[in-house]
Amino acid sequence: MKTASTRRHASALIITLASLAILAFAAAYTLRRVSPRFQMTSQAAAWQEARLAAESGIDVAMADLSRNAVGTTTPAWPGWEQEQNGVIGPAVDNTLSLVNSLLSLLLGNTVQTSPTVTVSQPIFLDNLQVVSPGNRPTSVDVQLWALYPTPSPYYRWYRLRAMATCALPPTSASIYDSLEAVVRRYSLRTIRPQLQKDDVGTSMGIPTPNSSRVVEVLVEPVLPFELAILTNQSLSLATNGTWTVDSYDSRNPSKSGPNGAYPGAGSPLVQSNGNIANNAGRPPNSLYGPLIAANGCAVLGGVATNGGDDPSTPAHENVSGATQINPSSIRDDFYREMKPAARPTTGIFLPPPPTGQAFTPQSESSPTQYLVTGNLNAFSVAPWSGTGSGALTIMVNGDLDVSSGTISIPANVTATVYVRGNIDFHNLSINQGGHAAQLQIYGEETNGATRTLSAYGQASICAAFYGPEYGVQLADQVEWCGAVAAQSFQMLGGGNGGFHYDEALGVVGNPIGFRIARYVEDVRE
Amino acid sequence: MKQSLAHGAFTLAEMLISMTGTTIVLGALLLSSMQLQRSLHSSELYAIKQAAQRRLLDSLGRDLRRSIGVATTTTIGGSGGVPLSGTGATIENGTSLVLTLPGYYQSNTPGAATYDQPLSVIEANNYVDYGTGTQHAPGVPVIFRKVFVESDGCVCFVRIEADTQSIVVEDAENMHLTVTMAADGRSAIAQVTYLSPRLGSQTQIAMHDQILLRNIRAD
Repeated sequence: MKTASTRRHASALIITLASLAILAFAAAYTLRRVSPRFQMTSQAAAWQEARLAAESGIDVAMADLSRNAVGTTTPAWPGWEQEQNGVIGPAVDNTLSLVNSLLSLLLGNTVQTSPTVTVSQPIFLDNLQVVSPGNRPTSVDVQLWALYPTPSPYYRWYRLRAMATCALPPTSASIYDSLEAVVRRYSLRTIRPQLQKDDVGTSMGIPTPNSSRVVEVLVEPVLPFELAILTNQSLSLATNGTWTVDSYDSRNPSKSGPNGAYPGAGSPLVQSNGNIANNAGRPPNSLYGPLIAANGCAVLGGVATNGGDDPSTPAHENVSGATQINPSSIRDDFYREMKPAARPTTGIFLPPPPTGQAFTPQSESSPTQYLVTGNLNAFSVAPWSGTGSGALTIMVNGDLDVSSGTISIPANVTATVYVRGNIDFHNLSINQGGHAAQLQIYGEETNGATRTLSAYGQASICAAFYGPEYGVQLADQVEWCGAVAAQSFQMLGGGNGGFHYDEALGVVGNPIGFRIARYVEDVRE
Repeated sequence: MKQSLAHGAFTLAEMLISMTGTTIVLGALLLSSMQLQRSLHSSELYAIKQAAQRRLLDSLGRDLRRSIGVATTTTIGGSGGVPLSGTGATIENGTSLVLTLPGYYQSNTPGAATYDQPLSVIEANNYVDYGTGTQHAPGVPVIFRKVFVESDGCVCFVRIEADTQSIVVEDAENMHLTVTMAADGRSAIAQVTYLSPRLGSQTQIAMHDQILLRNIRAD
């Protein structure tokens, strides 16, 4: 009895265990087949995060560029490193300069020249730690080169290259799908050799398996005179007459008059790149409404504001009086940071020449620097007889007040004027016969004081002005050839005057910021 | 004797009950095995399709992000592209997506020593870009296309960069790619859908990615 009973129980147990074993085997087989494929989701997420981290590295470098490399002073690079003769140390400030210091030269740190661009030695940020969304260990190396496409020491482009490495799950020992391997290019057991040149400084500490991505950008300077009129607070065009905003290009005979002058209203040589923009936004309780008062003026160019246009209506609420503006040229997604320009702080500062005598220029790479402790009135500049172009910088602690006479600059000279006080051209002609790029006026930081640039009557001005804290007030029939970037711009009257942007200004002036001009991802490493 | 008979055989009732029980148990086992098998199959197909869907989106997004031109064409070689702005296109039935990447590499011939080497930066026309001598490098066309690939014996999504074709997704018969450019031409929404592998299902499983073009378009 006991034996028979035991055998019967065992049969049931065996059947049960066998059933469970079959089911468990099937479940295990399912998981074994499917789980690696779902694990690829995690690997792909790491691949995505590597790109985000690389772009974060670029952002960090861009912030340092905006902080350190605007204006005329030699950039400083705290936190950056460089390698000299196999030794890693803090970056020397002028490693990226066009003319390296004696120290840099002694350390073997010289610039290189490609066919048309001078390229500095690189400096780098080593092993930046980035918090990735997936909380994976991530490390970024960023390299930075300065590029000089012209002999001007202030016209710098930059090349930035960031490699970010993001850890993969430790079980990612192989790629389950060959097609996946082609796209993702993971480092599973060892770091791919091609990546080692981007792992600058101390080797990154992210263990394999990991995923690396390399982003490279070319960064161009944002220059102060890229737009005809740029304002921070308000922009109001002429209130009567045929006053028009248009453009010409003094470098191009087919887009300008004799000697690169404005060809005259109605000329077929007149161009349509007289772009104007205002940074100011609308109050939170009234998001849509005018930010530029066009007052019926014709604008041959783009008109841009920082918001204000109701997307639910076909009208452009952001520009009032836009009857003579092409609606397709109006947009509302504009903002450009404007920081006051700072005058040079190093070098020799000469006193101004005696009244009636001309200022003297020197070479463009080493301009003469004058310091005017009081006001500056009408002045002239002596011709430059050396090679290339001549240049001079005049720093005015008081006002620039041209109540009689004019400002006269020879054809091959550029005068840069920094002013701390008010600027008044009265009803005179300024820099007539010259090009706007030859007279660049920078209104400096006002520390809260009100500063203005004004002109009236039949004044005819050929100049470029950048003063983010200056109010520009023109009246009557003032005609301006050049560009204005200011806190505000107001044209009262108008008549047959106008504002004519010289497109040659788009590539001159000291950088006020930087922007990415080319973005590539190096996918073949 | 009585005792021997009692131990020698089951009664009819016992037989019927035990057979019914066994049938139920074996049936349940068989049914669950079959369900598990189907589940395995559809899970695996689902995982494969999802990985392919993600790979196609990522591959396209990587190229779109750095492209300087986005167009569609129906020509084999990718010529005659119509720039895409403010509209969408489904990449199948002979319609290809042509992305123009900025010239960056010294060579576009796989296996060449300079295949992974970047060009120098040079200045021309008042701006700096990659190039040689005094000329900026021309853009490199990349074509995304859904075609029958004879070597694989199936419909595939392929990526053709400078005449070099690589397969991105195999067995793409029931996979569909749509690219929609914003009106300003600066961003795109790429969507990939596939038919659910569950037997008899007509559900389209969609995944999309919104991509901001990092470069100014040159088309």
